[in-house]
Parts: sequence; C-alpha cells; structure tokens
Amino acid sequence: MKQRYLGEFEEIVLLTVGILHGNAYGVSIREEIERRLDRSVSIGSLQVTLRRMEKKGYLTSAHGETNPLRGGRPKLYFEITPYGKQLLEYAKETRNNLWNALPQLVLNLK
Amino acid sequence: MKNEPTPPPKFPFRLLKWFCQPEYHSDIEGDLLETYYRRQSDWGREKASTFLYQEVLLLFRPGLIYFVSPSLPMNYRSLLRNHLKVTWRNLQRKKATSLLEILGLGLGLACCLGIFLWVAGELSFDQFHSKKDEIFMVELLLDGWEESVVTPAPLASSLASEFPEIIRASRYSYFHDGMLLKVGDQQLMEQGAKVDSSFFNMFDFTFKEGSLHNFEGNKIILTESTADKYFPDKNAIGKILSINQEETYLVAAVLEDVPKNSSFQFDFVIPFEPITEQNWGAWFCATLIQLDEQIEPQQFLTSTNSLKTFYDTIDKAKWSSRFIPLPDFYFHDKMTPFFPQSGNLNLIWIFSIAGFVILILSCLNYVSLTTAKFVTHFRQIGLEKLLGAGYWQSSHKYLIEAFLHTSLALIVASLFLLLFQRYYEDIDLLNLAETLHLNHITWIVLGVCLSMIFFNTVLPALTLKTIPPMALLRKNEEHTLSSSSLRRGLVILQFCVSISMIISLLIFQKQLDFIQNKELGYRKDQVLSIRLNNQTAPTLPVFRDKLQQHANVLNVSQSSFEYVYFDMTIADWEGKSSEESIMVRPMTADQEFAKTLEIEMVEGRFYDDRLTEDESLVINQAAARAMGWDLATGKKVRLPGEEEDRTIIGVVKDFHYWSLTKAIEPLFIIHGSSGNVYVSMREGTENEMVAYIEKAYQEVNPDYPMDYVLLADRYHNQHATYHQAGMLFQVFGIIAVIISCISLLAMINFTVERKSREVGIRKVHGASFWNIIHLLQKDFILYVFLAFIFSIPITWLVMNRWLQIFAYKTAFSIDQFLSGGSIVLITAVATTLFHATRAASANPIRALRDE
Repeated sequence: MKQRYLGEFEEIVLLTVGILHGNAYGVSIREEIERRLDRSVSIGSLQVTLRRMEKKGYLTSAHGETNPLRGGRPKLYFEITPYGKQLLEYAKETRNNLWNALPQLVLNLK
Repeated sequence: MKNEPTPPPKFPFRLLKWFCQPEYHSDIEGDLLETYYRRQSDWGREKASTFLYQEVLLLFRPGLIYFVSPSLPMNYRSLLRNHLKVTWRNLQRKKATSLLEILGLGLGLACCLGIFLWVAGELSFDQFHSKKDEIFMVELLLDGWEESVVTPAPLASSLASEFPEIIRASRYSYFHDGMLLKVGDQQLMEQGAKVDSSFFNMFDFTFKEGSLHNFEGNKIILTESTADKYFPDKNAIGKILSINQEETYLVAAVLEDVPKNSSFQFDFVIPFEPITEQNWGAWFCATLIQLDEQIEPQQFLTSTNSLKTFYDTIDKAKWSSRFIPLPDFYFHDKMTPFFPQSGNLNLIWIFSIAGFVILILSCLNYVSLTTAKFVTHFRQIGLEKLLGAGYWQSSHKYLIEAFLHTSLALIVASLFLLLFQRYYEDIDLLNLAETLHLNHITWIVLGVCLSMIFFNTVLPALTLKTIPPMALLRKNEEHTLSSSSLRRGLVILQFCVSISMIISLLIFQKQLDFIQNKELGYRKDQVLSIRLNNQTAPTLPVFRDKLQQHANVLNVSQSSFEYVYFDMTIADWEGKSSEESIMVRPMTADQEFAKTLEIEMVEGRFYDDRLTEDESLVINQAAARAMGWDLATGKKVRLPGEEEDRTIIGVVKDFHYWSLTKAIEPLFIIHGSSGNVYVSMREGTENEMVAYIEKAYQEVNPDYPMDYVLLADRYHNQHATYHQAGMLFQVFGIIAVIISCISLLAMINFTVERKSREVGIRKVHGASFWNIIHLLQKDFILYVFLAFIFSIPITWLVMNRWLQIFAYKTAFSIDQFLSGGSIVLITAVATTLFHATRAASANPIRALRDE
C-alpha cells in the first residue's frame, strides 16, 4: 500500500484526538485546538477533516451519551486507529530526522 | 450571571438539514447546538445566533453536501444514448413522415430566413456612419405649403454660423439624370453629387488615394470603380476629365466604392461653388448638419424658439423646420431628389410579420406532427416515466429530434433559398449577404433556428407533463384527449392563417388588376417620354420637325406632366363666395398636349398655337368643382404673382397625373414649354419607332445619349412596390397552404392508422366506400370551416387597412372570401383524399387480423 502523509491540519486534529483520549468529540476537539494553539477553527473545516480521516482509516468513531443541550443528539466520539498512530509516528520521525540534519549555522542565523 | 437558555433560531438548522449529508447530520447538529448554548451563556443570544449562521454557512462545503441521487447520471446517459439511436432509426424507418416534417420546417425556415435577411439589409442602410446619431437633414415647412427637403442654398452655411451647436454643415445635390464624363474616347453617363468639402468630414466615406485638401473649383473626386473605368492604369490622381463636354475637372482623390447600403449613391463628387450672395430663392439642395456630440440632439432640435428668431432675422417668418436623423433618410418618402432608392417601413413591417407568421406556422405544423406521434410512443414514454425519468428527460428525445430535424431543415432551406434566387432575381439575397456583416447573418440564422428548436421541444414536453405514466401505459384514450385537442387547435390555427393569406392574396391581386386596367384618362401605351436637359432643350424644334416627318409619329408635345410636385394658392376667382382659398397644382403644356396624350375635353377647347394664350387657362374637372363652377368656360381667375386675370378656355376630364395612391387634385394647365417631350406613336410600331427616334435624337444631339421611358413602363414603376409585394405575397400564400397541407397529410395518415380497426369492422358490417371516406374526412372539413369563420374578420380588418393606401381602390366582395375558403377546402380534401381512399378500399381482414 502506498505510504500516506498527513496534512498539517490533519496532524493537529489527530494529535488532539489523542490528547483528549476518550473524550474526543466535535466540540471538545475544537475547544482543545483553540485553547492550545490559539487559532480559530470552524465546525465546517473540522468536520470535513474528521470525516475524511475516518474514511481513510486514521480514526474510528462511536456514538456516545446525549445531553439536553445537544437537542437530544448523541455525541460522536473519535479515537485514533493503530494506522493513524503509525502515521503520526512516521510524521514525527521524518520531522526529527530533518531537524537533526539541519546545520547549527542555519539555526543561529536569525 | 446565568440566564435561562433560549432556543436557537430554526432557519439555520433547516438549511443544514436541506444540504447536509444525512449520515453526518445528527452529529453536526448536536455540535452546533452545544456550541450555541455555550456561546449564549458567554456572550448572549444575539452574538451566538450570528456565529451560528456563520458556522452553518461555512458547513456548506463539498465534503458535507448531499448530492442528489448518485445513480442518476448513469441512467441519464443511457437514456440519451437510447434516444439518439431511436431518433436515427425513426428517421430511416419512417421516411415519408420524416421527409414531411423536414420539408415543412425547411420551407418555413427558408421563408423567414429570406425575409429576415432582407429586412436586416433594409435596416442596415446608413448604419455604417460613425456619426449617424449626430447628423440630420433639414426639412423646411412653409406656411401653407408642403414640407420640403429641397432647401435654399444659403441655409447650410447660415445655420452653421448662427448656431454654435452645429459644428458642420454641408449642401448636397444629386444629378439625377447623370452627367457625361469623358476622357479620351471613353465617355459614359455617370451619377454624380455636388457637396461642400465638410461633407466628407461628416460621413464615413473612405479615401483610397488623395485627400480632401483644397477641394474646390474644378476638382473632382471619383469612386474607385469609376476611376478604374476611365484610368485603367490606376493612376487617376491629377488627371483631367471633362463633364458634359464643357468643363474640365482635375481628379483630386479616389474614394472607395460607396457601400450598397448607403442612401447616398454616386460615382463622382464635385464641389459646390462658394456662396457669393444670400439668394434664398434658389431651392435645389439638401442641407445636412452635424451637431456637437456634447449636445443632446433632442434638446437642440426642440428648442424651436432660437430657430424661429433665426428665420425672423432672414425675413422668413413663415418658415419652420424639422430635422430628419440620418438613419431615417432611407425611409423618408420625399428623398427622391437626392437618393436613387428608398425603403418603405410599411413593407418592412408587413414582411417581418409575414416572416414571423410563417415561422410560427411551420413550428405549429411540426409540433402537431410530433404530438401526433405520441400515441405510438405512449408505451415507451410511460415505461421511461415509471423507471424514474422526469418529463424533461423524456423530452430530451424531442430535443434531439428537433435538433436533428432543424439542422436538416436548414440544409433544405438553403436549397430553397438558392432556388428562389434563380427565379426571382429582383431580390438579390447574395447581394444582401454582402452588405450585411457575416456575423449578423450568423446571428439571424442562429436566432431563428434556436427559437425553432425551443418551440419544437417545449410544447411537446409540456403536453407530456400533463399525462400520468400509468395512463400512458394503459393507453387510456381519455388522457390522450389533451394532446389531441391541442393538435386540433393547432390545425385550425394553421388553416385560419392560410385561408386569411389566400383571401388577402385575392384582394391584393384584384387591386393590382384594378391598377393595371384602370381608365387613367390619358394614353399610356405607345407614348415615349424623353427627358431633356439644359443643353438638349434648345434643339427641340429641330428634333420635333425630324420626328413629325415620320408617318408613324402621331403627335409630339412638351409638358411638365411627370413633374407635378408643386402647388400654388389661388385666392381670387370669379364667383368666389367667401374668404377662402384653394390649393391647385400647376402644370405646363404646349398646344399638342391634349392630342398627344388623348386627354378628353369636357367643355371648351385646348390651347391653339395660332392664338396668343398668355391670358387663357385650361383646368381640370376637379379644379372647376373646387371653385364651384358648373360651367367654367369664360370665367376669370387670378394666378399668384400675375397682374391680369386669366380666362378659362376649357376644362379637361380628370386624368391621373399621379399614381393611384393619391387622389386627383385641382390642376391648372398653363401654356408653356418645359419638361419632357412626349411622342405618341401608331400602335404596334413601338420597337422600330424607338430606334428611329433614338437615331433622330443622336443626329440632333450627338453628345448625349437619349434618356427616355415609355409611359406605360413609368406607370408600372409608379406601382412597382405593390407589384413586387404582390409577387412575394403570392409566394408566402402558397407556402402557407403547403405547410398546412403537410400537417393535414400527417393528420390523416395518423387518423387512418388509428381507425384502421374501426374501418375494418364497419366494412365487414356493410359500410360503403363513401361512408368510410365521410368518416375519415368529416373532421377535416369541419376544421377548415371553423378556420374559415375565424379568418373572415381578421382578413377584413387587415386588408381594409391596407387598401387605405390607395385613393382609388376596389371594394371587397363576398366571392373573394368564398373562393379563398373553397380553394383551401378543395386543397385540403384533395390532400387527404388519397389516404382516405386507400384506407377505404383496403381489405378489412388485414386490419382486423392485425393484433
């Protein structure tokens, strides 16, 4: 199978799902990203990314409990699949390799 | 602070539900609600709602939108392929029907394309001038006189110097009879114009060589083809040529040939002599002005006050003026002194309407043929609908068919147009195509074809929509009623149009016959009219003597018979009852005039050359009536500008000195010599005599070719527009009937097919041949009859309106209407008879066995 790569936003979402471990559903993921990274995320772009990654097999989802504030709609919890983890690790590894190869000189320039 | 949470607005959620994939919907809605309530408690209701709207709109993106029925494109494509195949097969299998359809469409297409091309050609006149909205021709109105576009010479320059709004002005005069141009041995009559040099700054006539510089005195500008004629070696500039054997001119420039769709037509142009004196009595030229483009033309033209004061200053207080915009030049009816050809807006209207009617007629025909085929396709359409095809999809079939048929019809139409071109050379379509730009033609063709396709597709599709699919499958007659009643309506409409056209044609023809055979009060056959000019007029006595030597020449006379344009006001006559005045038309004639044109005297005598006739006058009956005289001879009348009264010596019977569109007005025939020479000849000697007269003329005037016309031809030309229109009308009428018959043919074909079983059963039970014919044809006869009744009032209104053009006209008669109706009825019966006969004489067993 062809090696897939994560996009920047995909990586962030995937990591956040990991961080929230067991409590990762739409609203919480969004708030977590906004809190940690201080960037605003629209429900639209988040939903599209989640669904796409689910289709690609990086994530799985399961319906959870409901809440009157959600109008009786169940929460949809996401979790990283082993394949997703593998991709995250691969991404980190390649990133680290690249960092290590970077000459000190370049970092000192500024 | 914690308020009671209020429910969010409903609309965003409804919107979301509408576009969102159902699979994702519940989760997203939940997230949205949760976020909304949190925001509400943090920031309040309003802000939260705004955010909600924003979020929902941002959710409208490809990954989340629900696309309707992903299986549809497949279905669609296979249906389309199927339709293409079926269309092609139908075309091959039903050759006769397809041929009828295509012929009908092609005929209609040819007609309206031809008409629209012609109309576009007429409307394109003078449109190529870039300043066409700023240029006007001045039309003068004198109190009590007819308005005139022939204006005094100083008008142009005085207007231009008086009004700063007028930036350019030019005089224009046209040598109607041509001038003799001569270089070496080459001499020909050419049409020329005289202009001021600003003319070429106003109008877009392109210079090919040379320039306008110093265009005055004996300079001449030639058009390219004229230059090539006289100077084949292409070096015309600076050469000398002579005009009318008198003056020599220096070629200053060569113009590109004048476009065919220009009102101004000339082969050469010479400059006006500059104005030396303000002679306001010399009326001979047109006055063209160009307004400043900053000025709103309407504003200037309606500010009559300033013009009024202008006319006061030149001591012409009774004058006023109108301005004719350049695009209207061609359609103005008084332009004959300046332009060789003119258009007729009425004719354009009539033809455009005829074009539309024929287009609609042929489309109606096509639609009624297509809907007739529905019945045979009901099962197929029903099945398609059951399998989920929308009615638009089912109607794609008609779109494809209509498209194919229209393209084939376009080919047929071009063939028809080429054929038409061969037989009617008067209307030069290829020439038209040249004057129009190619893209105009493309637009016309495209427009007509597209509207045809649209019309041919939408109507059948709409009929289809109304029928439920199960009814289609069950072949329920009740539901087919709507389409068949539509068809009936269409057939009646078609016949209504064709009957109206035929009746109009008959009335038209009768009026044309009336014109042709009308007793005019003068002899028009075997009379030659020869035009003289300033150089040839003095030689008249010699010429006259020469002519009278020949035994076949009956009489020779000179008269302004063809130039009765002006009028004069008579205010003083014997026995005048009150303070009234009348308008009369003056005409000059010599003593031979009445004999030459065989004009009858009602009382008194005509002029006599043995007496002095300076104080006598001959008038026509209309004039005698206008002045209230029962017996005119011996009465006195004063002509304007004369010191002495004139005595009436005779009254001539009214004769038509004008075309029949105008009534005969009071006429004063004044003794004098001017105008054309009229030569009456013995009957049957026309051809040899024209040759003889031409020879005699050449002997007297070797430098000028004889310019002549037969009075009968002149009379015909006066009404040429109507003859031409009559001819075209004939073509349209026949086409309309053919189109209607095509649809009849298809209808009877269809009826016979449907009723074959009924016919079989009736025959088995002993129905006779005529019973069956009656059964099959009674509907059509009813249709034609209904159409006839509808067409009577329409035709009556339209033709009554048309006949108003003529001062002398025929009356309607009932037999024109009846014969129009019966012609169409007979054609209809004859068309359907063949099929009906075949059905009636077929073996009934074959129809009955056919399960």
